[in-house]
Amino acid sequence: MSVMPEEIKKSGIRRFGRSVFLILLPLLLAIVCWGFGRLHVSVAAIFRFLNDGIRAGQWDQRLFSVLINLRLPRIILALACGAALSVSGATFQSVFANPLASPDTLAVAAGAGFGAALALYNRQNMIGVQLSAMGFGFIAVCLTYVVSRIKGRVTTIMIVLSGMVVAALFQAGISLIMTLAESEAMLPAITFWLMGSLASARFNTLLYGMPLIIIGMTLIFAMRWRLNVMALSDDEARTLGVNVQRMRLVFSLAATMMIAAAVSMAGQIGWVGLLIPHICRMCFGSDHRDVIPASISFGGSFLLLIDSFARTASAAEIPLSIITAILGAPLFIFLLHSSKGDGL
Amino acid sequence: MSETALEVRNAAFRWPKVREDQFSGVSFRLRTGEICAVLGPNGTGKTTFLRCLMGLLPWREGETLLFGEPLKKKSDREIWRRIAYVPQARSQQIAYTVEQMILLGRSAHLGPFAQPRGADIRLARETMALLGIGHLKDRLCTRISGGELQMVLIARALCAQPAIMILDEPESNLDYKNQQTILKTLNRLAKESAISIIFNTHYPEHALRLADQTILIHDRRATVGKSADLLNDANLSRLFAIPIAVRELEVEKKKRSVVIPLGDD
Repeated sequence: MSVMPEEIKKSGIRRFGRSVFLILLPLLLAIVCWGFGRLHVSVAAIFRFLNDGIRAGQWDQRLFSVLINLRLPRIILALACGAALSVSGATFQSVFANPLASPDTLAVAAGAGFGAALALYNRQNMIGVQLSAMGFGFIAVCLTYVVSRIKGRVTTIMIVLSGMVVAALFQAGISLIMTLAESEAMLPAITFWLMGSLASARFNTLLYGMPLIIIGMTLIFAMRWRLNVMALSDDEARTLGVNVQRMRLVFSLAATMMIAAAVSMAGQIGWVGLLIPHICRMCFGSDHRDVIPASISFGGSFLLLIDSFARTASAAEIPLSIITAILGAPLFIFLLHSSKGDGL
Repeated sequence: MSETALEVRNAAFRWPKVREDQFSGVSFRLRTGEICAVLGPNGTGKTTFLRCLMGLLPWREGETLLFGEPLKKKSDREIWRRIAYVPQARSQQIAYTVEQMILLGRSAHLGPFAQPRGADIRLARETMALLGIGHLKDRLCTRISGGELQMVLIARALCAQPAIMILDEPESNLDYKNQQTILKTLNRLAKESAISIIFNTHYPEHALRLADQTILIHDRRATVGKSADLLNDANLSRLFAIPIAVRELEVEKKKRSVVIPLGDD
């Protein structure tokens, strides 16, 4: 039986349409959210501003400082962090064959948060903060994995339990640093950063953080078909010709890299890495060739919307983790019930 | 004369922290297109035996040879392009479609950055057609029956274009019709595609019907022989620890072996 060209063509068109949608969604949302804020700028005004600026070289000074200097880096940061967190969530869910794996449940976020807080406390620069976040994040995920291994087997429940234990350990470390920081008037800064905020986004923050996210994401995106086989049991993956331990290491490193960068720029933002991959699977199925691009698009869009709400809803900024938890908890319960516990 | 595909030489296996060998003195040779059954009661380590055979667990002594060369000296990818493993069809956790699942059989042939292309997809669909599961293409692996899932896993293994296929209880937990489908499929793959097959089973009848040779696993020993010679009343009774009779019956002008457990008499 040969494959009907007609059928391939049809699925090709569908795929193309989906790609266009996934690319346009965050871009369109970004343009709309760009105008939100204390100074509201309509989409038409944004286009006029850009048109005048690029064509005639006449940049409106007031709009330039608000739109380009303040809001643009923040929008880019929201898109990047959202995408990084959900892609790393999808990656961890596959390499640990565990639908509940995420930066939060595997304690990577807590580890990276501890590393970043430690470096901040020691007044390190942005590079130091990121390296420290990455180092401790990776120690955390390794600890979680080692603790959960019983007789060479890793069960879903053990991963989640040991993730809780390791996360508690690193949270205690963060609390300790905060106690020490109190006397040095650094507490508000660390607290606010920990609860998640994109408020400090400037172009030079991006300059330091984006490379790690881009490297990690490119790697995972390029190897995304491998995630399919990684989600099977270890014996199955191995007998299909995959070096399971090495791939798990590579994927975990890439994911941790992205989380470390996201945490050092934006603090601990919970739920995104757990929630978005599940939503993507519900929309497009479990094939990681579809889940990873969808996670990038949906994750970025999700965090962009949340952050736009966080900075416009009230006079004071609302920490992102509070909103993601309020939205995430009920949404996740709904997802679990509607997928009837089907897992990945 | 057909070539030797897989050979085990004087092998023994022992679990760590255990003083006795799980099995020892295992030697056998499997030619291309031959079928070998591994028979034993529950809990004798049939799956462990298969895992040793494929190098997933290390033999304590002895070795497995793949086309005359020691398995240990070969890279993972070399091994898994020639040996395909079909695990027990447990209910699936991940909602891949049947086609996505079968494509994973190409993993050993594709690098970490590659994705299945047109030729791989064509091979997957041809394999599905060959096994008569083409209609399942877009169904989810979490939503198909046990018999269908077993066929999907066999198709996935075939997609690696292996010379040897190793199956862990392919026909357990299936009803009569599905069992027959699996057995017929295995027989066809051996005869028509010259694939060597090793399968675990606890049904002596299936070994008798399908396998050229059988390995009995009992009392920490492995006995190898031609199925017809080995599977007699005495051996089977000892193996399963109940009286068992093997008889030949002529049904529709064909001789068939039946195995009758005589538990209560």
